[in-house]
Amino acid sequence: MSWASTTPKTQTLTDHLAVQPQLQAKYQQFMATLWDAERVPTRLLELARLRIAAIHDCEEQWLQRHPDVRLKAHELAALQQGRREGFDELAQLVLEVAELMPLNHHEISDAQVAALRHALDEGGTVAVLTALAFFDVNARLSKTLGATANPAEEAANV
Amino acid sequence: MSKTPRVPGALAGADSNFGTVLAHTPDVLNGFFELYGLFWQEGSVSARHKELARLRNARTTDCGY
Repeated sequence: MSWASTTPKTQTLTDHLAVQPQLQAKYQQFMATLWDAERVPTRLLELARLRIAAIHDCEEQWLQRHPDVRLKAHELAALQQGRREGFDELAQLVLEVAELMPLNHHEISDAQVAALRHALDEGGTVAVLTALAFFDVNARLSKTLGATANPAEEAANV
Repeated sequence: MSKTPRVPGALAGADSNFGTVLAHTPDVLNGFFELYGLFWQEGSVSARHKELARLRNARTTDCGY
C-alpha cells in the first residue's frame, strides 16, 4: 500500500520524495556524501545498509543494490538472517553495530565505537555511524510512506 | 549508553557536540545542515508542530542533546 499520492510508476522512496523536489534533491545530495569510499569501503556500507533493510523487513530498500558491490547469494542470505560469520573482522564489527542501530541503539558500546575508531579513524567512524543512522531513516521512511520495490533499478547512493 | 563523548570534536578547543563531531566529515556536515535547514523552512507544517515532534522524538529516543 502506498500512502502518498503518487502515480503507479512512482513508488520507490526516491519517487515519493519527488513530490517535494527540493527535499528530494537535498536528501539525495546528503545521502551521496555518506558513500565516500576513501573514508569507508563501499562494500562495508552496502553490507550494513542491507542488514538494516532486512531488520526492518523493508523490501524496497532490500531489493536495491549498489552497482559497485557484487554480493554472493550466501552473503545475501547471511545478511537476511543476521549471520555475521564468514565476513571479515571489520565487516563483522560494522554489522554488529548495524544490528543495534534500528531498535537498540542505546546498546552500542564504548568498546564497539573504540574499535571503529581504531579501524577507521575519527572521520571514518563518524561517517559509518552517520551512514548507519540514515540507512535506518531510509528504511523507516520507506516503510512509513509505503514505498514499493523497483528491483530493476540498481541505484547508487541509495 | 555512554554519557561521555566517544569521538572528539574536529575543531580545536571546541566542545565535542553533534556539530563538531560531524565536522570530521565536512561534506557530510554541510549536506546534513543543508537538509536539516530545509526541514525548518516554511511549509504546510508549522515550526511549532515540527518542534513538538522533534522534542518528543528526542525524549522517546532518550537523546539529551
